[in-house]
Amino acid sequence: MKDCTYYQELISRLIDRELSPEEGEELRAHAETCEDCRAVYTAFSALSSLVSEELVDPPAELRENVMATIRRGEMKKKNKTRKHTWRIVSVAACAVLVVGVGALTLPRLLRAGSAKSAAPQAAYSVMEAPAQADRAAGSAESEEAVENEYSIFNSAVSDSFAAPATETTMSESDMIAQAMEAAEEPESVAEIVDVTGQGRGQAIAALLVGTQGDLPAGVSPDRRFLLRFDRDGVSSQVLISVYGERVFFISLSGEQSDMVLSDYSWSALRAKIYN
Amino acid sequence: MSEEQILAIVRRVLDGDVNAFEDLVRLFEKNVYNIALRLSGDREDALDISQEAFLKAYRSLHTFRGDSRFSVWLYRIVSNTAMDYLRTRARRAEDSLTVENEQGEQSERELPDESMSPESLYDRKLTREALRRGLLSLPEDQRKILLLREIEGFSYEEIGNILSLESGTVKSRIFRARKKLCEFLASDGNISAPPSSRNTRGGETP
Repeated sequence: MKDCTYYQELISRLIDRELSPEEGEELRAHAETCEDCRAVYTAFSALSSLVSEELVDPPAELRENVMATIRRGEMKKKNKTRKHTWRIVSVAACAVLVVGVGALTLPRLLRAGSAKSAAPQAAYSVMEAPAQADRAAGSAESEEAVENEYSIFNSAVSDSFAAPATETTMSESDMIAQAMEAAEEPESVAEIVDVTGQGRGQAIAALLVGTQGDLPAGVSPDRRFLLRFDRDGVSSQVLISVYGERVFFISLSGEQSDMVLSDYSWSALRAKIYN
Repeated sequence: MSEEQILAIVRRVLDGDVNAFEDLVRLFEKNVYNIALRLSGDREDALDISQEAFLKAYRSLHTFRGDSRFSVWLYRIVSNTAMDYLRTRARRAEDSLTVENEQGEQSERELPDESMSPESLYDRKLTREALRRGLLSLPEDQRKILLLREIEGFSYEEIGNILSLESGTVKSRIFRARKKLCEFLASDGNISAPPSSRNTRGGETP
């Protein structure tokens, strides 16, 4: 004969609706004759409602804190270095040109050639008004030519150009703004590594091209550089691809690479790198 | 909210819509918080555990493959986070906890007061406090499993999935947790003691 512990385990499962019809029948037959097990059923049921009732409301700060942390993280993520890009840097260590920053190289490198301020909005000037910037920089390229270059950007990127207030735009502008802020801090370190013709650099660039559809497809750039800078202990990298006189900046820092066509011409950039 | 609707939100988050994650938090925060609260017995700890669990869920959302309900996946994270947290806390404040545990165990070992009033539950506040202590008196694995069952209403199979346990283990552990909790509350005078568990309590190990 089965003891009451056996039936009480069935009672526990009855409450959880984990009982087969046969077991249910067996339990019912036993409970008819066993007062103790009926008491156990009452106790377990009371307990079950006791535990599941009276849930308290979580404090509002739970959700607030979670979302604030996530949103902060999304901004920072843009500035974190990917491991594989770090490897390229070490592989390419032979060709390192360390560039002193201060207010010199990096701001000019990333800032539009226009006289716009260094405020965060300046980032937009790189993306939003390349034509203006080009004119200001005295580039020979016409406004129309620059427009055409934009048309090769994928929709995600061009959408963000069209709507600078959205978060998507923030990702690109944020990267540049961060770079500029970093450059203005004396303790920031910037490094430019020539990775032209290097297998790994090309593999990653090819991957990026495949994802973005941005760069001239199937065409190797004339030169390729990795630009690295540190800010608040977070490393960021930008891949610079040079096609003729055209220079593309791709942030390698976010989950998705952000792409910016700079108004910088190769001759101007070369002067900065090799001066 | 249906599972399809939840999956749609998950997809939006994965597509980069950070704000959609807030919908997921809103959806699960109450149960997650209450499980954490009853696991830890402390509001501050419950808040920390819940926040940490949601952040981990956000960071590893891309690993969710949809081969279980989303909540099963989520509570696996909640469970692990809570256990890590409680272990760290135990190490951090070993002394103060030992006192609490000893008290809990002491009252657990007391023979139930036979003159206790039967059936009905006492004043709600007293009951809630007794429940809190009763849950804390349970071994961690029993406490966790009971809460997953009672608060989130998971099936044994899902609980097995969350905690990596055979469903046979799940059912016996839930049963043991219920028995123990009943005994604790009975000795505390909050619930009528199940007669047979009184008889069997001698053979129990804490």
